[in-house]
Amino acid sequence: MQLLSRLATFPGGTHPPEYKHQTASKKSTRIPLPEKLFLSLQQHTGAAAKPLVGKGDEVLRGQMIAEAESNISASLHAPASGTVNKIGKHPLPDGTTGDCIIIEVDQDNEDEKFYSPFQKIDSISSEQIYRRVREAGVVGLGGGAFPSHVKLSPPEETNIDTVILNGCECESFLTSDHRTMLERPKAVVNGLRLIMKAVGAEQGIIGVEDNKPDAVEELDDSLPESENLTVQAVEDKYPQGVENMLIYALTGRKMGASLLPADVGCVVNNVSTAAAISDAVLRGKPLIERIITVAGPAVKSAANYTVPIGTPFEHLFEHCGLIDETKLILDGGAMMGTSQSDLSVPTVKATGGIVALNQQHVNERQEHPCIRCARCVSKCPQKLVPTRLARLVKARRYDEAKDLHVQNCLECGVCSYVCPSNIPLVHWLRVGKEKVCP
Amino acid sequence: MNIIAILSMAILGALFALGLAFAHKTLKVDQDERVEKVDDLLPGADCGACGYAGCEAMAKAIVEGKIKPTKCPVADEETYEKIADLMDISLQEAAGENVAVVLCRGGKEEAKSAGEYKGIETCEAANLVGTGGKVCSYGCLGFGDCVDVCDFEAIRMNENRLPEVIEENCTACGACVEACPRDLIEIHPVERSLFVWCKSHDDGATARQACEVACIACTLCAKLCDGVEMEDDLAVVNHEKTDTCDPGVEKCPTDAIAYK
Ligand code: SF4
Ligand code: SF4
Ligand code: SF4
Repeated sequence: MQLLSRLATFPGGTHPPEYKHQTASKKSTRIPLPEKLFLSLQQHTGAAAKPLVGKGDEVLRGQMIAEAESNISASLHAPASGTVNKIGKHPLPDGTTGDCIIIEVDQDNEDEKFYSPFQKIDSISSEQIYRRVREAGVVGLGGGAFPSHVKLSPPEETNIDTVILNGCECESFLTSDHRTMLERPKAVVNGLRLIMKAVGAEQGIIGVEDNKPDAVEELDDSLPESENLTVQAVEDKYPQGVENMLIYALTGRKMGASLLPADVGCVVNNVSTAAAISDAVLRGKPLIERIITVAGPAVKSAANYTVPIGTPFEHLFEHCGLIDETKLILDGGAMMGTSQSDLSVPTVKATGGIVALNQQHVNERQEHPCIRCARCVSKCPQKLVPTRLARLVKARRYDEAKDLHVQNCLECGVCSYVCPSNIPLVHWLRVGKEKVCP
Repeated sequence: MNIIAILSMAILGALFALGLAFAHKTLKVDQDERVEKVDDLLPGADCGACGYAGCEAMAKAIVEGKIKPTKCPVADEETYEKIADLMDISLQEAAGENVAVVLCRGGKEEAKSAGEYKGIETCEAANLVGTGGKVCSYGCLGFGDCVDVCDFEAIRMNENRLPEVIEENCTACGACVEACPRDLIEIHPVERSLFVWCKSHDDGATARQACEVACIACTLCAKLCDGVEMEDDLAVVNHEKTDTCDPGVEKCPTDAIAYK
């Protein structure tokens, strides 16, 4: 029986080289603060936050500086004490230029303004958890940056029985979630218990890819004696960390493309988000910093840093060094990261890693015609037909692309990765998505 | 016997005629009678060079004001005049048409590059990747989606990687306006000539860094003329008002505001 049992996973997907060895064993460290922090008012899904401070105002570390005005939005807090230099436009890692609160950091001021912490998980109400997570500006740290409080108050009619924490970190190069699980397993577990309490779920599962056995062990040791809380290893495969893939692997529940996790009784959060939720509730600490991996063959000394939100990329590279032949810098991992042209862009809440590549690691192979091998079709985790969709989009036949569900593409990049003809499939699919559901 | 046959045929015929007359009166599709007249004036070659299915379709479009008679490459001056008369407009108006204007002059010479763009070479695709190759996130991406969608060969890419409208060919159909992911193309009356050739809302310092011909929001032109207004760090021409004053285009430090 044991011989036959395989690790849980989902159909499709691929396994790109991980390149995690560079930083997986590097404990996160702190580096001196940058002179200025750039806090984008729009670093989460939803409406921009409204500034509460103006030019010249003194701010304290942890003080709210911009407020969420609507439900789907997130507040911002000063990651360090200092003075508001201005509120103005600044380039952002997504390629846009957006309004930022720019803080001139006062390196010597160690005062803080946190919320008052709750002492015991057992005596906190779900309403209190919801309100604290909301005021602390916690968003999904796995990349989506969806405001976490929204996930903590699922619609009335749904019945959530399972909370899943995503510790897969299936992207190449990145190890920030891995480090969080190793260095702060208690915070991760407390976060899980708080989320379960907030949504009224009986079961909690932490899903970790089996390439991180040390994290599985750490978390297992930190779990309280309870049958309802488990850590489960899942197959190490990309994109295992996508919500519906993980739900399927851990519970066997199938999520149709139009369904939300709540529709199959689940809530999924990243492990780092869980740690941030625990910090907000049990330490009163708003989301002002996080672990970021800076790695890749073009980085001289790759590292994990605990950095304040809003730190310019160039400041991080000053500390770890970049080789002269750097070819490509990505916000995120090699599969889904976005390339950067301006290193003055700041990190945002969702930045989990920055990857710098040299020539050798950048694919510049020539595109060839599709040979109908159907690798893209068999590997697409969403069961799309990327080759057909790319052709439709190229021909501007968007209606047909919509009929074939181009809008369900996750932009995971598996199709482009496996295509032997080097067709930029995911790029075409993105164009199609933009046309079909802007 | 014969008589009956003839009579019944006559009665039947009369009935059908009545039916037809009735149908003509009540089921008639009201068509502007000018369509027929314009159609008569057009050469009748049905060549399709105007972009319509034939002369009748072109006539209908002329009457609906969608296209100017001068767009018929076969007809002569005299015909244009006759059609203008029929439409009760002057020949200037008949010729005065709308054309597309591309409001970015930051080609590869003027606009700073942000790095090598390696993605799919269409504007739509480039627009999804960072700033799409240039530092300016508002300017022309230069892959010519507008050129691709134009059915009239009225827009081409020049050596500076900027699209150029060939006004004689432009029918103001708006396909390029739709296609441009940066919303840089607008349709204007052909005689309109004063424009701010930039759509960057970056603040002055940022815009200046990004492109030599960007509007740097110095507000000079807006101060000189009521017809130019500042909107979020960009000068915008209000064409209703510019007749009455002079924005002093020669004073613009970057030539962002200029005549066509
Ligand atoms: S089509 Fe979309 S979801 Fe499918 S493999 Fe390609 S990028 Fe991933
Ligand atoms: S993987 Fe590439 S070559 Fe194979 S079917 Fe898909 S598009 Fe065609
Ligand atoms: S479609 Fe727009 S961005 Fe592309 S070339 Fe034409 S004007 Fe430039």
